[in-house]
Amino acid sequence: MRFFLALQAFFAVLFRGVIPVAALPAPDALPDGYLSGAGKSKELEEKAAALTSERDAAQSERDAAIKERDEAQAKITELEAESVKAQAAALETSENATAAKQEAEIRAAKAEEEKKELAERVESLTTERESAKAKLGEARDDGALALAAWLQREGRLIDFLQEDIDEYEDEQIGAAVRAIHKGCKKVMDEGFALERILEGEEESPVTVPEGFDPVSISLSGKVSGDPPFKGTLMHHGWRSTAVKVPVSETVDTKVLAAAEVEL
Amino acid sequence: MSEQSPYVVGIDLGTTHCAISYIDTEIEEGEEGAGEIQVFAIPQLVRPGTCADETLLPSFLYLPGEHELAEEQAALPFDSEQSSLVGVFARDQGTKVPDRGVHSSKSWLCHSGVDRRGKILPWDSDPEEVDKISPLEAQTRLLKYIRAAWDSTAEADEHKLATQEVFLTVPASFDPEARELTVEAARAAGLQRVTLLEEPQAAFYSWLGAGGESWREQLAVGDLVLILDVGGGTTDLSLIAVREEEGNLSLERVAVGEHLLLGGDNMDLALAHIAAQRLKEEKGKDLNPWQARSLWQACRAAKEKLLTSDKKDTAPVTVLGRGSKLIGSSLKTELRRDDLNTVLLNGFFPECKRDEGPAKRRGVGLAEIGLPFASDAGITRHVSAFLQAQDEVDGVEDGFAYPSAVLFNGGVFKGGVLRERALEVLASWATKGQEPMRALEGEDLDLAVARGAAYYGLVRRGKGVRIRGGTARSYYVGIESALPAVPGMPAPLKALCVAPFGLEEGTSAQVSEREFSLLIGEPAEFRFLGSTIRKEDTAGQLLDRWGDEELEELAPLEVTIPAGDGQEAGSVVPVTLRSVVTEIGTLEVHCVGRDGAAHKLEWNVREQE
Repeated sequence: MRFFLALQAFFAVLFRGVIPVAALPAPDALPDGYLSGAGKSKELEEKAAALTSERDAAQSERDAAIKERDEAQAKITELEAESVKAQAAALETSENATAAKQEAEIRAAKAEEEKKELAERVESLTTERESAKAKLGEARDDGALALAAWLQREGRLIDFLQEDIDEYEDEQIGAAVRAIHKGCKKVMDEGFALERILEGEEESPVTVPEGFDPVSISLSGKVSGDPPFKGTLMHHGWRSTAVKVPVSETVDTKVLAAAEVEL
Repeated sequence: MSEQSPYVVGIDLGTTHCAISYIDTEIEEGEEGAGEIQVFAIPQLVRPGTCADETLLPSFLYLPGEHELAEEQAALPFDSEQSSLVGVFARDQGTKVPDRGVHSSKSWLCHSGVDRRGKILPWDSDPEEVDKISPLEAQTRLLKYIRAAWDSTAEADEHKLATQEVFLTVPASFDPEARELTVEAARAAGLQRVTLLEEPQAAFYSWLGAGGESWREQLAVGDLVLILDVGGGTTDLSLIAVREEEGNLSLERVAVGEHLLLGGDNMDLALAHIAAQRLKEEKGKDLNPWQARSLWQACRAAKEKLLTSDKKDTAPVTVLGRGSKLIGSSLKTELRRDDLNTVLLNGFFPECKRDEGPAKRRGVGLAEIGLPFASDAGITRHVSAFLQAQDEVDGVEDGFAYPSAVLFNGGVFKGGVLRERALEVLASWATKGQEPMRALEGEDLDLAVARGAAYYGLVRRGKGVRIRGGTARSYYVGIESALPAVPGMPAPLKALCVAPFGLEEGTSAQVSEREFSLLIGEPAEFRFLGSTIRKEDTAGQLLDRWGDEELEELAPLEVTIPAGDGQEAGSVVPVTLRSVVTEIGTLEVHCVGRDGAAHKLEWNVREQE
């Protein structure tokens, strides 16, 4: 039960944010039995590299699209302001500046046209951005699926979570958890580079410095005044500095564990 | 304003959770989905930086400080028009940093012992550290959030929540000022077309709506239906009578109970106390506040496990270590079926006789400073007291209104065991010749109120039977007798009935010809009383004596009549009183001068002594 929760927490963390930046595995980091031959390994490696560069390309395409769109939007704002100004100018000079007014009107019309063009450009960029985002999402899903499959393969985690454990005594569950712990720990060790966020013993005093990152350090209790804060370290936190989750290019990633048939 | 909006929307603004339902009235009758009640899944932060749609919105606010959250952790995909966080993450963060969490604001809104416009919430926190907000403001922010969340999914302007017909539920036991404050909060949140509906009635509407016309077969003339609504924080009682009108069945809400701050949260807390006691006895461990909260949640889960399955007699209760040493510092005990029997069944639904009432001392219910929690946790005893008080309801003999049916509502009754127990006790009150009370099968216990509120929107458009109700109590203005002071004796108070029980929406009552002298240009205060028991009193009736239990003093009313042309401030004018129940369901009392000019008496919601 306890371990079940621990793994769930880990699992949740992994699913949330870590996967999208998954780097591809060095062949020696791949779990046993993953590859069937040296030739295959090379092939997979190439495919993996291709996927990485495709994803990187999608990301930079998206970034470029965002930038271009932002520029276009800025231009629109500028032109709108210009258009308003031009119209105001046209109104002001009522009698002796009919010509100027006409000119201003032409300018306003021109600005209007330009604005329309830019709006179209923004629209097409937005579409482009959406498709880049979708590609990124696919890569993310593949990473999440690969991790789930890995945890199942090594530690039978999916079987464990899907089984109704209410029926069993704590002793029986405890014995099973030792095996699950061993397998899942292997995945953790090989797939992630874990480090503590804060050094120091838990349950001992700690100082949270000025300019700390609230995403990394979560405060609770009586939060008052300004940092540095003095408190007690309740949990040292975990951060992963590298990720190596192997994603298969050739096999359907949605299959987390194959059905097994003996003949 | 009379134009019909595309949607009718029901909002259940609960003490612990909010829920929203709606009906798209633009779907033509006969087409798919016409008249169908939909539940609006409310987008909300569920973890830092993660927004998800949930059918329930926890009624919690979190007032972020400068340091504990990064901007991107609190970011929503839409503009909630406020700095406070609302919903699941607000609730969880509020348990981590309790000084900044606002909860139960609805209970504070109807608490006449505090200043409801005063910046008092979060109740225990230091005003130097936290920008406190008033109960009124807290309710406003909840509704503002709901509006922003709805609008984030509504593309067309005519679909924005501001202009939809919104039916907002309040406890039947809410007094007039709490109702008015609720409407004020809704207006401040930008909702322009709000109508109030009592929660037990909403639950009943949900039942009516779910069965189509079949209710006419399930109920007969003369039937009384008890609605027992036990929410997370409050228990609300109502009685609905089935009558005959021109050959048709009609429904009338004939009684409502007192406001009881007693609900599912008390039950979980009581179980957590047992588990904490057990940990102390078995392991010699005292819990810190963080562990106590985890224990509370673990007990809730264990309770649900035991209530929904009778396979096992114990359920494990585990509090994991808070630090990274998960197993090493975890605590374990168990909850037993016997505990449920002692605490839940005997504590909250005790067997009792029909003439028993709640004990006056403090019982199992747990007290928290500030809110006036019910002192006796025995819900069945509160029900018997409620039924004993209804001797003026039609067809009632021997001073006890015995309902023919009961409709259960609230998440508490999801455990079939509690529903069965409650029904068992209710059925035991039948006398010879009376059919034991039967249960009406309601649907989704968490969402019935919101669904019923949306259905009520259709009823208001003439599609379905309407429950007649009106004011939930009779109301009185207190008049101090002009007698010489006697040491040790307060001046005797007389009570003038200004609004009879059941005064319906959109009608008014003139309070006799009796005139009062009022000073111009100075605030005049009226003491204000209400009764759920004296239902026969008519407007203008003057009481000079009543039983202790019969009348309850509410927050006073105040009026200032400005001096007109040619009038001197400080002079005296004669006025009469008139009460009006508005279409949206609030009560107003007016002072009317001889020239016909009316001045509304405002609720004085400041702190009472």
